[in-house]
Amino acid sequence: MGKISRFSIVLVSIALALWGLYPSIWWYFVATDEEQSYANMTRTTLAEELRQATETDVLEFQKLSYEDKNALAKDVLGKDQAYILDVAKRYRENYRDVEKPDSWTLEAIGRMFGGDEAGRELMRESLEDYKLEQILVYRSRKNSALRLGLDLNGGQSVMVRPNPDEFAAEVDELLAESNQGRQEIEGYLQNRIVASLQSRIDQFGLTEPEIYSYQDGRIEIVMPSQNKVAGQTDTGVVETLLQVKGSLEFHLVNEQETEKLSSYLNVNPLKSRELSETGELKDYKLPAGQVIRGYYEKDKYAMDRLRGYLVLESETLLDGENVTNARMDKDNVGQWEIGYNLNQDGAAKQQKIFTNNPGRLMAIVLDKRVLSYPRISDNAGSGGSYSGGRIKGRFSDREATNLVNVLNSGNLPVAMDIDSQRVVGATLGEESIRSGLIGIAIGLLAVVLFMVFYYRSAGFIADVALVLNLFFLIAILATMNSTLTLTGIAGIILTIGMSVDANVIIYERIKEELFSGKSRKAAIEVGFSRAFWTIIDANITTGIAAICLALFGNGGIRGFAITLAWGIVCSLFTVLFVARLIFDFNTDVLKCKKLAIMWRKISSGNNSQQSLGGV
Amino acid sequence: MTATKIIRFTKYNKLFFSLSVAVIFSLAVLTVLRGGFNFSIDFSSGVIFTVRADEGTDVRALSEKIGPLFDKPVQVQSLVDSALFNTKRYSLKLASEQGNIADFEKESRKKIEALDIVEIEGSDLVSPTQSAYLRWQTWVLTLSVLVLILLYIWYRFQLHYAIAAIVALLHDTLILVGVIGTFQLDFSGTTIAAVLTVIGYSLNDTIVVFDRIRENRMTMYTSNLQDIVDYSVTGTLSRTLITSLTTLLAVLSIYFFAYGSVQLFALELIIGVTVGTYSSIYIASALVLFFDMRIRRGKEGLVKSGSGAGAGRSSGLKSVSLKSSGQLGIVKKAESEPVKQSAEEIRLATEAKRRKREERRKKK
Repeated sequence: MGKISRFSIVLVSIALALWGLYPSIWWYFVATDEEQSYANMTRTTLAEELRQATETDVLEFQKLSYEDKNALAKDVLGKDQAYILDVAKRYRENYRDVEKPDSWTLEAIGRMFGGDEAGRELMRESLEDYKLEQILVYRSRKNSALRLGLDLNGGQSVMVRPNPDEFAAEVDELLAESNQGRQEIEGYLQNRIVASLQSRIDQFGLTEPEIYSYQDGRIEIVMPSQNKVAGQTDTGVVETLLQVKGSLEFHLVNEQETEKLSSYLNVNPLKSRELSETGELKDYKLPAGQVIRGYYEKDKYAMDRLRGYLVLESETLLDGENVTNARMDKDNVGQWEIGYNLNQDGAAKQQKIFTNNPGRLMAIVLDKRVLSYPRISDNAGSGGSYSGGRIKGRFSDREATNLVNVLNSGNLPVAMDIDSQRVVGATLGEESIRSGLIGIAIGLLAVVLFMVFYYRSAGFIADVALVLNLFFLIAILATMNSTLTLTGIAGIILTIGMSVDANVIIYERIKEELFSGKSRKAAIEVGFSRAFWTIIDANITTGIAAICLALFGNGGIRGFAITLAWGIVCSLFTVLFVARLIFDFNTDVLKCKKLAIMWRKISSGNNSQQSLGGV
Repeated sequence: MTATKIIRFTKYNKLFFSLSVAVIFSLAVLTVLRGGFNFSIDFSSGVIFTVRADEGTDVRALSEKIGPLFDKPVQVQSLVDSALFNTKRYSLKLASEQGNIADFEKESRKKIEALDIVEIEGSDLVSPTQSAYLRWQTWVLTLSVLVLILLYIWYRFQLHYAIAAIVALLHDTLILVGVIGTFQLDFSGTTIAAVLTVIGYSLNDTIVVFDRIRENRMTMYTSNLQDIVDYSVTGTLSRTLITSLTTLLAVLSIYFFAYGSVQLFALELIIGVTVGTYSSIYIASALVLFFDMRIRRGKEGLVKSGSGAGAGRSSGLKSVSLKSSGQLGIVKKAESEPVKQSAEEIRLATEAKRRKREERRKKK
């Protein structure tokens, strides 16, 4: 291969590595605290935050319009509201029939969306979409950035597994009522547990917990530190997450009151912000035993969007404990319908509800949010069985899946046993990461200096290869979305020490060739080719150990092994390919005749010993 | 390199073998005397708390205050505080067989917090089920690494090289594990990672030497195996030492800048790298020599019984062996027989490979 094509390969790899590193660089060095917190939020909290932020922005915009409606938007809009202009321009782009204003004054923008109540809401929603798109970009960058492990970032992780006895009992129960094989049932139950945990995640405010499901049935829940400043971890979160009973409830809808409320809110739109946790609205009188709850729908980003308010009767008719199992089926016209099973207690309750309230709406409420309100059909209990039910409606695939997950999240089908748990305070994590970075720096410096000292200018080439090696290694780890732990850092430092080995093997060979009287070019040629298989053999065996560790090891050990394994691959590339290229470049282009690789002089007398053979 | 003195590594084979055996044996005895390994919760279930304490406290004070709170002994260790860490930290290890380990953790947390002398910063807990699983996993892991390595070296070299390498690895592992047992260092999942890394590392050294032995056997005009081994080890010596040095430099920096289990990991690597370097110089290559001699003697015996040709060979061997000066001079092309010996080996090996390849083709 020509030098130019080899050089281009090196350049392309560097470019690829930079591209892979970009999200990490952005996330750790560029992103503001606000951008980070938006990216970390659970979707539920995010939706709430966005709604409030855009409402405030719309109000601010209106205030400015009252002051001077002919002011140019770019002059008067503050830093936080400046994006309104962009949104307006984009809105114009998308809807060509909207007349383009001569100048972007506040009045022109306001008129474009429409001056009335609906126009304000349209403007708010446009702002919300705009912000959300940005945040989704932050999120995707965050997700493709190098993650910091628990020991560096602080937080809590638990490894749980379904209680084996309960799991077996549940499987037997399901087996009895279905015609599927045991293995399928086990897989189904496992998925249901994971889905149930997943749909509970949304309850946890500021930082989203991550859930990993393993082949052998174990489930890992990782909860990053909620509050960096205080250095405390909320140990209660995992407990809540693993509680058998969830917060799923069924309530009857009071349709009359709901209509009243919606006409009241149409007149006083901002009132809805004053809705309390207990479902009461300030200055609004509700009949006794009624509560107000928001109705939410999942949008295309899987975010809960508020769609309106319902008045519910506060008596809980059924709760999560009554629902034993929910699933989705296609009915005979190809529409999704959601079936659920109830336990004995639940069946008795449902029978009462259905016979007493035919034709009324029943709201399915999770965590104080109404997620669906199907109408109770007259013939629901046909066949005399109330041990379950069906929810029909024009569900899209997404909606149907969501509803099934919600119903199933009401209670975990089996209790979970905690296998291992880890809590790390954020301060401890911060000190660890700092000392880890210093460790990398010192280790690197020591090795780099040693190589230059011992091998002189050839040592410098080895150092270039070493630094590139680190760069590639970190880029690969970031691209693979792996998690950097303290042991991973140890792996990086070890890679620094071990990856110069390939250089050393080659250089010692080159030295021998120089002693036997070969020229620079020939010595490099022979040195590299003779050392090649030695290096491959030596690295493959280390690689075997590393790969086995990565496959069977747990947690921290896996992080270490992955780093080590990729360190080997990168060092092979940088030494055999990049360093070789630099040597060849110096020989052929810079016309170097000598090779400064050692302090000892080569005496000409040594030539006579060539006959010892090509050692 | 040719001007360098050849170091007679193999001359003291027996001495180094017995030294290693003695060291391994005494470490094993000491480990047993100290009551076996100090297994971490990874392998024997329980809870470890990481706590921070004021300047005034030390391990003893903490043990005296916290110890009485629990039925089982509490192990208090100082997480060596380096200049980089502002606060003094300790780890408290509580063994427990309790099935619901999370409850045990909560109770213990409350008890310790009630004392109000330390602040709990982190905790690790492992349930009995999980620790049993980890024990099983460790065996699978270690055995599969060893078997894979054996197969790879067998494929790339020959069986007796592979056996020599594995014996050297066992040697390193036993010494490392023996030191861990003798000094009652925590035996945890990280220890397994350290052992396997040392295996990989030590093997790296060993293979470089083996590679050189194999190469020199084909190119050197001598058949004295001892010379070839000595010559190969000397030739790769500077590489072995330099790589060990750079690795040690890196590992030392982990040792000084980490705490707790990672620091222990670095310490284990320091021991392992040192032992691994020693074993690839003195143990692995000496074993190859030992096996080679046995193989040759076996063959010679066969030849001898067939004809009288073997007699000449043994004298030929002597004639090219080195002078006591230890300097490998220009060795004249010796009697053709010894060369044939190695050439024949190569021929046999290639033939065997060819036959294998043919067999594979037939199968297809």
